Amino acid sequence: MRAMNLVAVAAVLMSGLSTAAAAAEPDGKALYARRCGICHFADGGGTWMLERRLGKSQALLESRADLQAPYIRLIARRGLNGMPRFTRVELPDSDLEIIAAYLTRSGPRP
Amino acid sequence: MRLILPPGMKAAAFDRARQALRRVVGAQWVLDTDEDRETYIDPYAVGTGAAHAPSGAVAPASVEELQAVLRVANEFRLPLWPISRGKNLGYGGASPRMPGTMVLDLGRLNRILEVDEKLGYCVVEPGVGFFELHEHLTKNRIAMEVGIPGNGWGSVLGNALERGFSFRGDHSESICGLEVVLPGGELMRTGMGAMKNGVTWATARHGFGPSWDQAFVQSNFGVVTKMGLWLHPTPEEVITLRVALDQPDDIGWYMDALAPLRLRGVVNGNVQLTTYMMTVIDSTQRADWYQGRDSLPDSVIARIRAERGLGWWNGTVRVAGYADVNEGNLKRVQAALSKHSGREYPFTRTLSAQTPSRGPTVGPLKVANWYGGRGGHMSFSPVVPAVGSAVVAQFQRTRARYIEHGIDYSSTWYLNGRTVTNINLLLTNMDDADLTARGDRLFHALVKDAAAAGYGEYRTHLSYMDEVADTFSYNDHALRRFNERVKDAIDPNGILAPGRNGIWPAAWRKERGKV
Ligand SMILES: Cc1cc2nc3c(=O)[nH]c(=O)nc-3n(C[C@H](O)[C@H](O)[C@H](O)COP(=O)(O)OP(=O)(O)OC[C@H]3O[C@@H](n4cnc5c(N)ncnc54)[C@H](O)[C@@H]3O)c2cc1C
Ligand code: HEC
Repeated sequence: MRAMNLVAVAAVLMSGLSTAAAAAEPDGKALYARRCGICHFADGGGTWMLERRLGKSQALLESRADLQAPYIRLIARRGLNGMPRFTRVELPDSDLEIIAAYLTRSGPRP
Repeated sequence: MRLILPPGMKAAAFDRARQALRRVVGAQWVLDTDEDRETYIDPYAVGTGAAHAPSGAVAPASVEELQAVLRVANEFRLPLWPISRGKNLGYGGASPRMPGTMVLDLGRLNRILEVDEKLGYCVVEPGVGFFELHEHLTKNRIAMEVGIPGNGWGSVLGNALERGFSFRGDHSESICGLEVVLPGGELMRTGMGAMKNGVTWATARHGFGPSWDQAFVQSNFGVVTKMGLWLHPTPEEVITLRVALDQPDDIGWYMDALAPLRLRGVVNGNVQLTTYMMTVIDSTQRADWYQGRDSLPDSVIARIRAERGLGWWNGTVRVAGYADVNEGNLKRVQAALSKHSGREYPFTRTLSAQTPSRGPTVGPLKVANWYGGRGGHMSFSPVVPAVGSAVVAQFQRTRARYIEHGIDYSSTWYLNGRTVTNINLLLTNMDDADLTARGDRLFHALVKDAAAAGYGEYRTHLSYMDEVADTFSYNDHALRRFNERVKDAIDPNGILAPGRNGIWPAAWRKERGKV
């Protein structure tokens, strides 16, 4: 599953097509690392709690293919259990869109 | 969350104020949708958070915009609550004390203005986080460090204004020189910064005449827009002793043994001692160990300790500096401890040149998940003398209250030379009304007990600010009356952070005690 995503992303990048997802990729990755990575990288509290609730394969947000942008938007603004909400000063709508595009780059799009 | 207006404010006046704010900062930086309001609610609030619900937020991009925002607030008597990054979790998050107050979010003022490696200081704006400052120091290979709180998500400046601390001690003690916008909108600089061209603003602490930096800490006298903060030179070598104590009352001899060494600078960082809980709390949840509604029984504590190889208390002692000097200091620490325990303790040595400093994390936020559900916690944080018998008495009194209220006891003690600051965690699941109510009752009981013993808290959650301020009652609350005379003089409309740390301006004084 994960390997397939990587192959798919690599294919998009190598083909040189500037799809929205591919164009957003570098920015999205960096923004995600800064705003979300502190909890959603390997040792983070987000990863830990998602592993408990959904299992290891769903724990790392970055390697999931099932996330949808509206859900990401909702959780970022409403929070979820141990995840606090983000204000639009810390995370402007435009940044959230870039992060949502990054997290859905290989998964279903609305 | 629906709009809650400041007490007594008419909807029409509020709307006109909002319009005026939009003209100052641009429409997109007045954040007042229902969803925006939600994002500023304390995620760990006691209850729904409505007691401290903001009416919205306004986010200026410059000092000039901020001054204009304050003028609007005065014109319409709109109360404002300044935050820097608003990560004051455990103490109220980004929420204001009084419902309806508008949050003044300074997150867009986020420049690191200066870092001086030779003299060891930085000058930062409110929005600079620990992550950003650490990254700046590392990237530019500046061998200086800043004291980082357990939750490293917040603002360097905001944390210092709360007297945040770490093993480096009280961060407000590193403040040197502030730029402040007073409630009326006037711009002022403190200390040497009050000169037109004051060169030693961030290096000489007091300037000429009264020294005002600390008057803007834990107060509501001004909005801080720049802060000079002293940095700590990265030591050549850090020796970290790991200590595990077997019995609850061992904390007494331990503090007595180390306090003199801390006072003399042999140990040059706060000594940290924490319950077995802190070690399991960020990798397991309560349900993994115990299902009962009462406080964790001794049998479960014994099982946790056995499985994890933990002491009842677990801690570190830090000896840092030049390697040759450390050697002598380490010997003194080992000697002082082994006099009581008959043994030496294991330690690690780290050479800073080879190992980059760890930097900020948000790892400790995991503790909020202990009880499951919508997790949260508050901290009850009294300051106790650095005397073993006093520490043991405070510990026993506190733990007995936790057991009485059926809440798991978890605490950390930070030994300074003369005092020990005791951070007690009140963990909760906000979906469990009974647990949350017991936590609230426990908090009230703890404030009362500590006050009876003559101990005050160094900082507290919004919901308990009036109660804690009440315990500082010498001569019929002379200090509070003085604070409020100052407040009324510099903020006659009472627009800035009404109720912060129990200081209420005349305009809202009748709101005191309401939560
Ligand atoms: C698990 C956990 C562990 C923690 N560990 C620690 C710790 O080890 N040490 C510690 O100190 N804290 C700790 N905290 C508490 C808190 O998270 C940090 O202190 C955090 O740095 C505070 O948030 P902030 O820096 O964003 O400040 P803010 O929330 O921005 O500011 C705090 C308050 O200061 C005032 N203020 C802020 N900016 C201004 C301004 N520019 N002008 C005037 N007034 C202003 C306001 O009243 C504001 O509410 C911990 C919290 C949790 C949940
Ligand atoms: C302070 C830690 C923290 C930060 C920062 C954080 N999260 Fe989370 N996040 C969590 C936790 C904890 C959970 C798990 C909640 C649960 O299931 O109990 C979570 C869950 C989620 C989920 C739900 C996944 C699912 O399958 O249900 C999404 C989506 C999410 N986070 C997105 C984000 C995004 C996007 C960011 C950055 C903008 C972010 N998070 C930043 C802690 C964090």
